[in-house]
Amino acid sequence: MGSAISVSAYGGSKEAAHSLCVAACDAVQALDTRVLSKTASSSELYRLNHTDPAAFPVAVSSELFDALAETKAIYAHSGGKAALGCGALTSLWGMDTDEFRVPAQEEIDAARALCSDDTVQLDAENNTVFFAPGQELNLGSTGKGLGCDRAAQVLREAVDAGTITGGIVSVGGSIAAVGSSDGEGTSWRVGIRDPFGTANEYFATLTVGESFLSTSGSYEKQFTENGKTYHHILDLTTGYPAETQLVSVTIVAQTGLQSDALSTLCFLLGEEDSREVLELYNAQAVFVYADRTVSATASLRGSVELVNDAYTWR
Amino acid sequence: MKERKWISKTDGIVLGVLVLFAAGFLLWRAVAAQPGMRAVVTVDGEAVLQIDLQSAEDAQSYTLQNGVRLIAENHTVRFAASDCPDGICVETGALQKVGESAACVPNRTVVTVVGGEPRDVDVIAY
Repeated sequence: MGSAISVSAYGGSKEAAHSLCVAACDAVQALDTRVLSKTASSSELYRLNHTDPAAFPVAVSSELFDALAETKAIYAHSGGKAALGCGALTSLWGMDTDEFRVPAQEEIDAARALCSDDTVQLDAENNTVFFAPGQELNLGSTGKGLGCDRAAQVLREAVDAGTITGGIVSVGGSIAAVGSSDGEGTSWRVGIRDPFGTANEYFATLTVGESFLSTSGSYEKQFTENGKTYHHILDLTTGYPAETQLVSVTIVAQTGLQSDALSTLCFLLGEEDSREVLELYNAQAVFVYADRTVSATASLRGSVELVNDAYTWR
Repeated sequence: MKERKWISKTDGIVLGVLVLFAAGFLLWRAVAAQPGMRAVVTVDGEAVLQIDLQSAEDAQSYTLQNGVRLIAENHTVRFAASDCPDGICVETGALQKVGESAACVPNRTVVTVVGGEPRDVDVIAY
């Protein structure tokens, strides 16, 4: 998935911590190359997307099926702005390969017609997948979170076995926090990237226990063509990057897949329309606006500290 | 007998100046103690020691394997002793701002103050 992976383990011997970190990294990489990658021919998703439509429905592994089903279920709350089957449009914009370009309107219209999840059928009984010819499934917006889930599982087992007391995983900026650094339940402090700053600057800190966090921001992947800057979060109802006053949304959720999918979804929906789906998934959010004002869901507000004076609460 | 006030005008002025000095000193300390500020010590280009300057208040001495002695104090760090012939490193005095550095060339030892921005988090979500 072309993302930097980092794993830190706390409270164990140096050797144990090191081998755990390697194991957790391997778990993430294996998930990508075996299952999720949209561009590597080794992955199950790649093979699925390159299956002759005449062969549908086809059976897939339960690992891929669960990822597809949960992603589709979350994007069902998007009012058509996001979809599992958005691959035709993300490919067109070059979002999957970082070869960005602004497509012609006719191209966008044609691709949009292939992005509806109405024609994506997932049969949970048989783990089979069906979608329309020309459609492409994309787990690009949930892959990092799923990677966090896998790495967190490795760390969780080690915490349960008493090998370490906790650890932190970052898969391309999506975070899994497991256990605690001292074994006494001390909270983790997670910085939220400053949308107007460099990669290691943050404007706020979040104090959390065991949880999963993801941030979606318009600063992430950007390119400029003819003087106009385009970000990477596409709104399928227009076929263009979402027009919004938001610059980033950070989600704290129960799983990595959920935090990752919800951060994209809530970026597209805006704060007001995100409320329902956040409640449904028992997730919390921090919204950052272009004027550097910040808001957070009620139960998270007390855990957020603004550490950059340029930012104020809305 | 001349009546004496508890605090005369002159006393007041002296007191005021003292308070200003004290406030200035405290402010200077607050500015100097930037979160995350630390000294990185390298010998032959390899980091051999990190000193947390944010919490460094009382003088603390550090002696390196090559005999160079450093002292961290009041969020600053300085070369205190070295067997080098020129003693330039000791003359450099205390480093107190991020980006400042001092070197003892004969002992191939460099001290640099880094950090400064609040980096007191476990990880950054982006």
